[in-house]
Amino acid sequence: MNWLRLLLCCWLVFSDAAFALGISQGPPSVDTLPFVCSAPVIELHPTAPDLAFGLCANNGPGTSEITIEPGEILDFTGTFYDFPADASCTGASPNLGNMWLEPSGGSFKRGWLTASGCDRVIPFQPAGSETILFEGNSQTSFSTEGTIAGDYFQYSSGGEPAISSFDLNFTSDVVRVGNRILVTMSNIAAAGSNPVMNPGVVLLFDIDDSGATPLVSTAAPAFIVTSDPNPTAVTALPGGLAAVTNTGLHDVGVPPLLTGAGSIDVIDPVAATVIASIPISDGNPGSRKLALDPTGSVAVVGSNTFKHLYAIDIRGLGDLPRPSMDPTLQRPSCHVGDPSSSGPVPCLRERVIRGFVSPIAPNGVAANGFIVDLRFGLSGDFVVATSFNDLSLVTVAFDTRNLDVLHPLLASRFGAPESLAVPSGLQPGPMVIHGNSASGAAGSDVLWFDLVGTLHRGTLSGSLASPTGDADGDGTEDALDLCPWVTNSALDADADGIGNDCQCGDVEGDGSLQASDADQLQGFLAGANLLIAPEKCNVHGLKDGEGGTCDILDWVYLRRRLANQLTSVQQRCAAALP
Amino acid sequence: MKIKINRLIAIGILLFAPFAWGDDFPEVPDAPSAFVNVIHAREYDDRFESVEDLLHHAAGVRVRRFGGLGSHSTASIRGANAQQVLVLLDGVRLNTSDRGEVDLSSIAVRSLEKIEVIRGSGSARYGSDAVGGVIKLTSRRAEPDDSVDISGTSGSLETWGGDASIAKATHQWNANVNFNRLQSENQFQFTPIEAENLVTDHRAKARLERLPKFGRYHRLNADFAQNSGLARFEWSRNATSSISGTANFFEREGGQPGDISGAALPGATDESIGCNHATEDKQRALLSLAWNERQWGNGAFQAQGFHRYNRRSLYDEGGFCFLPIELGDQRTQSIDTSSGVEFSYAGRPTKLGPVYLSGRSATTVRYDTVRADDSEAKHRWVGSFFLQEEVRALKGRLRFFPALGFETAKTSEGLGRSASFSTLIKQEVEDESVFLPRIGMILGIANGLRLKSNYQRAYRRPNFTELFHPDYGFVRGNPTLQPEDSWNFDVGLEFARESLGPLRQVRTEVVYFDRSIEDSIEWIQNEGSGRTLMPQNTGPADVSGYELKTSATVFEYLDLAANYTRTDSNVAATGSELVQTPEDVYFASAAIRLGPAKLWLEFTRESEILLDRFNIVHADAFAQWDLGISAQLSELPFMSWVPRGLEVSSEWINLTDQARIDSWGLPLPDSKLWYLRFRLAPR
Repeated sequence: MNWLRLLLCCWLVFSDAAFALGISQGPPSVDTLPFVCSAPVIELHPTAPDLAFGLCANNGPGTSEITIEPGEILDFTGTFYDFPADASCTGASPNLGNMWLEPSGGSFKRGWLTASGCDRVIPFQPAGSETILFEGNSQTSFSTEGTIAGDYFQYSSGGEPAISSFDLNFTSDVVRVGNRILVTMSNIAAAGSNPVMNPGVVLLFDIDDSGATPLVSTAAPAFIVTSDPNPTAVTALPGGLAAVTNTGLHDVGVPPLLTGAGSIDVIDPVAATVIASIPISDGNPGSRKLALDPTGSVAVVGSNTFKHLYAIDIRGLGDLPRPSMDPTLQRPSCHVGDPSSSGPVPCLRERVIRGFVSPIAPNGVAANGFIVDLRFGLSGDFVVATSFNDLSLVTVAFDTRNLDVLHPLLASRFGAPESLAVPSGLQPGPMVIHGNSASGAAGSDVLWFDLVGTLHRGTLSGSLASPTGDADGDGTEDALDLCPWVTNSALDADADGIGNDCQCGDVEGDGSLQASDADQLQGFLAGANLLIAPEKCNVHGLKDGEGGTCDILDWVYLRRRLANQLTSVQQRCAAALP
Repeated sequence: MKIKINRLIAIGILLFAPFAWGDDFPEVPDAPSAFVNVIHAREYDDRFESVEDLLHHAAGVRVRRFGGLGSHSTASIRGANAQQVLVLLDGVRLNTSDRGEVDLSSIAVRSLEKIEVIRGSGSARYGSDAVGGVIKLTSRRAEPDDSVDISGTSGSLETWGGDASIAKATHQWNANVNFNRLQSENQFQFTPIEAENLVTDHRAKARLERLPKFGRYHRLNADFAQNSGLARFEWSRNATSSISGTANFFEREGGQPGDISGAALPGATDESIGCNHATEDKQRALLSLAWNERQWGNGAFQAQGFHRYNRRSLYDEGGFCFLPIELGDQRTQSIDTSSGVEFSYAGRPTKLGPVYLSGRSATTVRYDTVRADDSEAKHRWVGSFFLQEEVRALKGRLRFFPALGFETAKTSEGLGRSASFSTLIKQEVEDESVFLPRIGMILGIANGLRLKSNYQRAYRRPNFTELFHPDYGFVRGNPTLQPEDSWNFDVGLEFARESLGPLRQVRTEVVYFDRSIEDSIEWIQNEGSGRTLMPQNTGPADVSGYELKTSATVFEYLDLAANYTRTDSNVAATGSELVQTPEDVYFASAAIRLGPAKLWLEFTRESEILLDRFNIVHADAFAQWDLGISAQLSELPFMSWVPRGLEVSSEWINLTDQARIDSWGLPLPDSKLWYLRFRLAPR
């Protein structure tokens, strides 16, 4: 029977090979494009499938439109936007930073840039500047410099006396949400002081581009204070929200440190307030925009100082109440004081799906590494990240099943991170995926800049091993399991993607949320009756087992849900937990 | 350890070549078989010369300049960087333990007697840092007669300089005191080299050609003023015993002109590019005292104590020049000291059967400290021992020099991170104790012709900056850094004749060299979100090449000299050559003496060099011509009224207005510079 063993062995080898992901890069004349500039960034054209924009921070600052048609030579199209001469950057390097391209129907509307070197926000067209009316003045960019005076006595300046006014500095990112422009600025600091210990701000501007010339003006209130220091990126979320990435403190030798502690602030730009803060506690989140899956269910961010990827459940964020507070004053960070709250803003720790607790394996090159950029593939079923010091691309499969319902998101949605050494052997930085429409990674082009300003293109082949998590071991994969932590739970009376056995708030135990559940809970809290399923009470606050209790706030949340003021209650009860 | 075929062939040649003999070659007692350039500084007293300029006369050496006149300059030997080249002044290390390098512009030629460039490692004798070679500076000795030597220089860019030396000698003691000053506005004009001229890809050129064309600018804030002095004395207690000492100081206050990236912006002006306000102050003080016994048992003994102090202070008003964000005024200061003692003994040859044996040994204990106001104090104890034997056979035609060095060190803990995400903690450095063997051979082939070869281990401990650079978020040290370890091999022929037809003082040298570093240390810029610059071990790097050197005097009035160095390198991590290392370096000089006048012409050419480690940006090859003339005025016709010893010289640097860039990639003056110098040295 040796031949049978041989056959089995070969089958195993080749079946493994079928799941292996590879990357290939053609000759430099085809698959590289030297920009020869510092801190380059790449973004896909929002509407043209085979075009992209490369951004140079300095050394010829501006954007270059490039053609990225698969199999064809990477090249400049000849359409360039040069940083304008009237941007008041004379004498300083503009340090153009993040770039955001504003989609509008089927055409390119405008792009936005930030210049941290001279603190400006710049709209642009592919082939030139766009003139706006800013506070009534015709110009091609607007300044974010300034001093904000007021009673900001709660901010320290690295051990110096508290400050009562602060300078705005380091314009890091911009995004438009509705008719608001959000601009992230670094820490609050008194002039000339070390700002590292303070939070940052998000500046708010109004834009009206219904006419021929866009009108931009300062909004009221003009800014929002973030939960943690160094807001370095802002991402538009579904439902008219935005997510601000607070990188936090890192690599700063000034104790006491919160090294590794950053957060994602969820902002309602219209209400001009932070509605939630999602702490990222063991690795500073990166300074590029969040990667969103095509269904708008999950956002992924990489660690700036640790080789982790963090996935965040962004479903239903619009349901969160808008807290009543002064957005220009800081509330406690989720990293200090009471761990359950940052003032009136909820700390949504449970939103972080710890899919990648183990550091990404190094590519045999460096022990240190950080994720510079990451993107979902077009099909949404995989993520690619660039791991700078590992000289590798990190690929992770993502299970997209049941995302359209409020099915619990577990870590097993994601496969194991796999490293692919970049063919160039150079540190990969900002990156995009030029995907095909088919499911899977095969055939997708990954375009990344190395640190010396050369764009590389690699084509993925093979496939990633699918996530196969089954937390309760009942034979149903987690993404399909109505109750991932309850064995053989197959009933879902209200068809909301959450099984009867783990439906938090269903204190009657019949699998669906009804007014009678609220009534039963009210009676239970008043001591009038017992609950059939008391383990399903907790729908708000801390999780069961982590200090969560069954209290009147759970009843309030349940009633709001039943009154359609919320689309869901939070799955924090014991029945929904491991 | 890898032994390459060419090394085996070379060793075979050594073993089986016909026996002959040779002498009258420069030899350094601590490494007689090493290939050495000896530059006698007095021969250049009639010029406005710097140590950097003189090093062009040495094969295998390239000077890396970081700006124009008076700017930081370092020496590279056989592709080794500044941290891998040890510089000694009267036996005292000038390399700081903080950064591991020496600013050559801080040394005045007029305070030196000679410069010995030992190519190839000197680690067996000197321990860490001497990977590429050693530059031994010997301070100027008093001549038998009392002397006074005063000079003044004026030149382009409002440059002013002067030297004053006085020497006195008796039968029992001699002393020499020297003072130098140099200052310059240094506000040279330049046109930045267009970026598209530095890249080769036609698509990149297409983008870069869109950039605004650079104008012509002045380099502001490059002014400096520096003073230095050196005093040396020697007191002979008797015919065989003496005490000598050296004291040296240097101070400079200069602007830091910064980069010129602003020149790419529309409307850029002199004031809007670079950095117009940052300043840097440097000071150095050195004290050395030696006791020499030339009859100590059956040999000679020397005990030397030394202390060196370096201070570097950087003031960046507004913090605009060196930091990516405005953190307010930045003032950083670093004080680096080194103290120690060294005992050395040289035994006299002893005949043992058919061979002669002689040996040398040295024991050194050194204590280095660094105190900087942006990090905590650090220190390192270093102990080393060196033993070298000389085995002569065949009546001295064949000489072997087996040597063994040993070095141990204990470095203080420092605050560092094992990784970016880690908090700052006390980190221990993995100090290694190392044996540093060397074997050298000299084989006399014929009268005036000999073959030499060396095979040796070289070693470099990471310096304090590499280990513990304060964590500014965008730059930090790496306490887990491993030392650089390498093996050096060289073999070559030397030819020396005092007279050969019309030629006098004929010297020719052909040398092949090879160095393999097992784990190079490189600073890697982490662009992207972290932007952390930190040193890392980046794997093997190999350097090989050959050096050709020849010099002669024709008819006793024309001095000719030329050298050529070919360097091939490969860095495994990048697959490209070493940065800042041209493949070909040519130097030629001719000096004609016509009675009291002398005219000289020098030519330097370097091939294209790689400026970044990723083989993207290159600096073009350049060629530079320099011309000079000097005359003893009193010996010219009709000039007898002029005081004896008054000399005038004039020089023109960069005769062809060649545009070139420095080691930062920043422009140097692209027009010719002139200097006029008067010197009074009555004899």
